[in-house]
Amino acid sequence: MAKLFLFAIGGTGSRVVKSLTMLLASGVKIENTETIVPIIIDPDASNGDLTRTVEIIKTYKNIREKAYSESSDFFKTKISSLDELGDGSYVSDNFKFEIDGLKDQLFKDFIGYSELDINNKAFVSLLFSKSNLNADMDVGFKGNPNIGSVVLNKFKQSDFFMRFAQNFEKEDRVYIISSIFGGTGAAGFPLILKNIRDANHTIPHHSFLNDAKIGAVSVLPYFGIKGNENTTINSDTFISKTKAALYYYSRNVTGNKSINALYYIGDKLTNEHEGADGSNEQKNKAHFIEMASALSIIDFMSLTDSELNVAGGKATNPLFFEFGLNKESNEIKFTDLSIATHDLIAKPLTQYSVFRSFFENNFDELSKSRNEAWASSGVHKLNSDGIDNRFKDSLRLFNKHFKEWLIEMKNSNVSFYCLDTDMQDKDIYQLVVGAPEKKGFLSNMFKGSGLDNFRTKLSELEPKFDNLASYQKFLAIFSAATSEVYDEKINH
Amino acid sequence: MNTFFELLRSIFESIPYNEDLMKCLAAVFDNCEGQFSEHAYYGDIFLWFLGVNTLFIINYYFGYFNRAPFNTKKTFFINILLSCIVLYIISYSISSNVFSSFPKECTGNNKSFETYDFLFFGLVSAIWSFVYCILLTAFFKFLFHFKPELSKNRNVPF
Repeated sequence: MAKLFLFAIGGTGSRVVKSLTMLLASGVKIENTETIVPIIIDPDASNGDLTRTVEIIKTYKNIREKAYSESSDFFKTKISSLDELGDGSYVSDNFKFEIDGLKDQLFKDFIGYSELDINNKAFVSLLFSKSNLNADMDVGFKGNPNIGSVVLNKFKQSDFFMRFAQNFEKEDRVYIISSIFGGTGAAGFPLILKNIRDANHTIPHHSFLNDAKIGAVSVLPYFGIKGNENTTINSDTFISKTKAALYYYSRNVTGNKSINALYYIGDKLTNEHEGADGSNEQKNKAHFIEMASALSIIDFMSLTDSELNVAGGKATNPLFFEFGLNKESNEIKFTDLSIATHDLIAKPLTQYSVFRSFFENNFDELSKSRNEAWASSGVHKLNSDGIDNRFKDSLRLFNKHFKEWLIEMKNSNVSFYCLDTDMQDKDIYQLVVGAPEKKGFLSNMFKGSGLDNFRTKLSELEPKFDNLASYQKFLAIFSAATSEVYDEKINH
Repeated sequence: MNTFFELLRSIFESIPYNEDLMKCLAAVFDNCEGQFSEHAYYGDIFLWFLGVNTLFIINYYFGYFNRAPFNTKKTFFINILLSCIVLYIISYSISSNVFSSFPKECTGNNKSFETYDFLFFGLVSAIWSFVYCILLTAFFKFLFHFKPELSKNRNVPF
């Protein structure tokens, strides 16, 4: 089955990958691939967004490795690192492309400014300001694409790129996530695209790369930066940078048909993050735009090979997309989404939220009880005999991030408030905002409601999955139970 | 048939209570023996016994109680207790009315029963009800071993 190589550039890239991971964990289906290989490109290795995303992906992998089966929709898609492909030699076990020569260096040292003759120094001074030349490379490009375009050119000479090329097969696809208004993303996107399309004979599988099916999302400005003493980034320049980048793309990305499908997404600059020049202080809150960007990956993968035809390194029919809502709103509910988006995400996200609430609030206590048939029946049990604390800790960590993600999206100025993370116990089915639990007198009388109904549903389904090992049975039961609950008990 | 009634009689009388009441319930009298065997009240009580207890257990494993939050030992034993109480009341009612339903020449003029005789008989029925419910539960538990999908309360009470 084809792989999807997902290049995520900069802080926005990391946050979109985080959103995608959450969607995949909840069971959103991605077509034409079974394996996603994220490659995060960020010179700022300690960037809070990046470290959080890497932690989430690693946790996803841990959970999936132990608990995935065909019977479960949760954690369905495999996420691999480049290390797991090919000959198994080490390039990076943490999904990050680490650029050599950035540690403790200023940009002028990186380009060998001091070794240039006077004429070249003068030329460099035309292209880069003094603050550019004195920029510390440890914290990224701080919104300067002119720096990024120089530094990221190292990518094509890296082991990381070679490993990617070695493992790229004809039917594989590439997707590039970047923001257009910062430094890393704006510079990295055209560079990576060019390196893939123009791969020469020294690169393994170069003919596959030249004709690769490539999609990208270019995230237009969607948040501002609160100016403070910690940052030199000025969000007033976002629009002008975007215009400049779009002009560049019109000639070098879209204009030359390098890309098969390009998705544009953005918003007004109503949401403001605390300014930080990268490092662990850059931990921006999740935003609906990032989830919508993640959906562009799902959409790209649903396109057929014939729609993404490439001949001689050029897309024969480049496609361009924008994201839209059914109803514009500052507080987006499931009903405000277009039908296609609703059908894609409403059920999986609700399912996972029900599971998360149950796991966080009820699982430990109930699974100890011998009376709960779902936990202590069958050959493979879901109590402490079958599910160890390590697995539960991984799941708790993932669920903590999932909850955080939903809360952060809720608290954005354009709020994505479809799921109430506080709903639990008897109100567990009330978590879809604006859609109360379906209640009928007879149904309530004979099947119960809320948590009682869910426990009963789990016990009803348990024998069906007892052929699976405990961890797999665990995910399969919760996936099936939440699916039935969504259809039967939750208004949508 | 007689053997079955004998068996019932031996079961009900395995915990001894008033002997005259035993005779009335078994419709066995010194003066007109065999005459009223078709009215053997042990048979009637046994039918109630089977019906009520089975209904309570089936309701627990397959009916209204077959769901959370009723999947607890406490609810299970309350369910059985209710079943026993119903049997107790039925046994008490039948036994307290049985004396008047036979001719005096059969029961004998000198026979009279106190309330506690009926209460004690009710208790005997309730004890057997409990035993029956546990046996029936064990049977269903055995069944659930092969067909776990039959009940959500399959892990209760043991």
